[in-house]
Amino acid sequence: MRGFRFLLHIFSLFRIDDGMNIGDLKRGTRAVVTAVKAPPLWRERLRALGIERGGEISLLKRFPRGRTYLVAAAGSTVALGREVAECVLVRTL
Amino acid sequence: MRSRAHSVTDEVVLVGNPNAGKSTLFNVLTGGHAAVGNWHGVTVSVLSKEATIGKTLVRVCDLPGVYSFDGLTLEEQNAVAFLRSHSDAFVLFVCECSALLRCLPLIGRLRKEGRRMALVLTKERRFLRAGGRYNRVAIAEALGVQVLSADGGRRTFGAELERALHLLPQQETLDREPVLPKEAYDPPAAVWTRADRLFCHPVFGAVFFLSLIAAVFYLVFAPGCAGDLLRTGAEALFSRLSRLAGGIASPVIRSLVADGIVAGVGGVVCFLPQILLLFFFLILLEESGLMSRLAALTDGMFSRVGLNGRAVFSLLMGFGCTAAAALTTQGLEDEKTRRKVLFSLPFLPCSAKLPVTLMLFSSFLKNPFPAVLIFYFAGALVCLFVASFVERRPAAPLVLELAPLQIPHPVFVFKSLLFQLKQFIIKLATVIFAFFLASWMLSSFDFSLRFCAAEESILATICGGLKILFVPIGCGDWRVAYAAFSGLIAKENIAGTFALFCGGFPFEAESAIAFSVFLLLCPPCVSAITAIARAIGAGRALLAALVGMAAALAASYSVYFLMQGGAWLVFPLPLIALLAPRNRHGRIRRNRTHLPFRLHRQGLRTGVVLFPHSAAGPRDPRERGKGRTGSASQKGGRRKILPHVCTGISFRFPHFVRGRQRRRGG
Repeated sequence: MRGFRFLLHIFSLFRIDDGMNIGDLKRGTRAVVTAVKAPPLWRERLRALGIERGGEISLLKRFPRGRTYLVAAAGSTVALGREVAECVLVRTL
Repeated sequence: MRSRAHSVTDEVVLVGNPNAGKSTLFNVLTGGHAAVGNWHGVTVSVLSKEATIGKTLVRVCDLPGVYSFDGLTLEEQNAVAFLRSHSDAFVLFVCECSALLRCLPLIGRLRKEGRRMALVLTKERRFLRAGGRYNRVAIAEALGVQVLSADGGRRTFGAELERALHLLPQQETLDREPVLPKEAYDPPAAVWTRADRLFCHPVFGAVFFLSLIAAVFYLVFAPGCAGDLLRTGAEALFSRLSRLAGGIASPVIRSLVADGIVAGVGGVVCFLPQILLLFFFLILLEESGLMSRLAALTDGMFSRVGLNGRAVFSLLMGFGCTAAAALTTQGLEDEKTRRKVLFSLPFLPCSAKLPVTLMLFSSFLKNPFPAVLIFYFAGALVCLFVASFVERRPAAPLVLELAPLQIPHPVFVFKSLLFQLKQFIIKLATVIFAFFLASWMLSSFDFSLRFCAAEESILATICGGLKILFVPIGCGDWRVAYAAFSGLIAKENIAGTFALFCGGFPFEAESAIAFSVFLLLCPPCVSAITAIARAIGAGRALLAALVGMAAALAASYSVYFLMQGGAWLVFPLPLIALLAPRNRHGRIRRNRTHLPFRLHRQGLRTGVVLFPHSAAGPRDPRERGKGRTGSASQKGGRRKILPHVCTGISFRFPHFVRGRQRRRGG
């Protein structure tokens, strides 16, 4: 059973993605937000900071272990935790 | 702005994002001294004051910053509730020039509600220096509101505001979403400066901030440095005052002045320079914008104890004042993060504990600086330890706008320091003075109101029973019990009480160390307990205080016992625990070849698939072999692959997240 579980993990590597998120961007890359898959309150907070569908962002810095990301959006710099950054789906420009 | 009007004719409410400049504008309009800072969340409640705008007397209200009118934090909820209850007030929307685009939804919402309003643009010079361009007239036309500039000077702004108040009694509502054309507003591209790169660098940033904190502690505590020299000077001054008081003829008045006021109150005032130096450092950190970079840098570390980087401001404030730090937790979005921070704040050594620790360690050490440093470090460790156990579920992730880096304005720093000094003097002149006056009276008179020695006084009789609590640490004296419980009024009282009754800490080194452990873990003062109770409820706050007191006493007894030769009884215990027979299934769980644990340690997130909790697999390893295949494609349902990882993430965002391949980049 342990071997079967390991195979399942290997297969999951090839699962179809929802799309790129902020965590997948390279530093300095500009991107457009395609979707924000987060609870409504967090979506509202991100929108208030300029991170919303159609908005342009740029990844400024990724902290070690991908724990925190610094993103430029709507003229300001925003620090995002990993869980929030992974909920913001983007498309590179 | 001098007034000839006699009654308030209008109300002006300052609304806007955090750190937009509302409190600064409030101070300019009213001549007040509202706390300002380069951090999002300085204003936590509504401030209100009358001001004269030209010939009009108005009431100006400064609201906490809002990102959204849907109220994620307590501050936003307070602001929205105030706006709703003051529907006729004139709204002055304060907006940073560079943040105008993201404020459009808020402006649109206010216009849709038909509010009387004007827009104030702040930090325009910084916007223009960064390469941005804007046209005030075009913006006013596009948004349908009058646009005022905060950079024009007080008189110009006052005249423009008065015109706006009188010329716009009622504006028509705006149904469409406000849009700004590029000719009206063209923001600069985001700039990642070298300073940002340095302060946010994991190695340089960590070294810089740790060195900064070490330098501040050295300046404040080390012998021969600024803090120590100022304290010595203050002590010399009060010694001279005490000698002068010795010339008073009446023994009662001589005892009141020399022993009650000079020794007691003076024992606290001597530490004022060091307390102000600590606050000065905190204010500089906040004003310069470094605080938000520290929050981003420490987010990873705090996440290990279930907090996020936003908590760093409250925790650093805790080194200044626990009550003030408790109030700043209103800016934390997540209720669980707030509770974690509130329960762990009392263990951070506040500035009021500083006189007591210095007095304790000076009683047996020539140079108390290393011991004080260890005391503060131990307090920080206990704080993080408690935070990791309170509210086991992780806190909300970090979402924080970085405040701009700037050189702190000397006037703002001076005003903030003056505010802290004023708070201390008020506390000194009321609570602390009244306490020492009462202490002197109770310790100088017996029940028949005869002037007597301290041992025969009313206080000695009352506290005689409490001294039993401190017998196990070698301090079985009613004065120690009284000093310890006087710390519930204000922690500074402990040092003053020892100075009043004993001229210092009169016991041996082991007792001093045990008492310092008690001081580290004991509940905070009444003001801090009240501030905490306002946030989490009186019952919980009192329970936490009682548990804290019991834990403080137990820990101090244990430390004293160990130092008195009890270590030989305790050290074999870990060895016995290692040799004891263990649970076979517990060993299986710790098996290093177990796949989920191996993946978890390697930090792989591939194939993290969340399933409904009802379909969860059995947690007990003994159940896993009973008819379960462990396959996700099992008929009739899906199973969790990595239950412990899934639980953490699925709690935060309780919906399905498909597995994705993690690609390394940047």
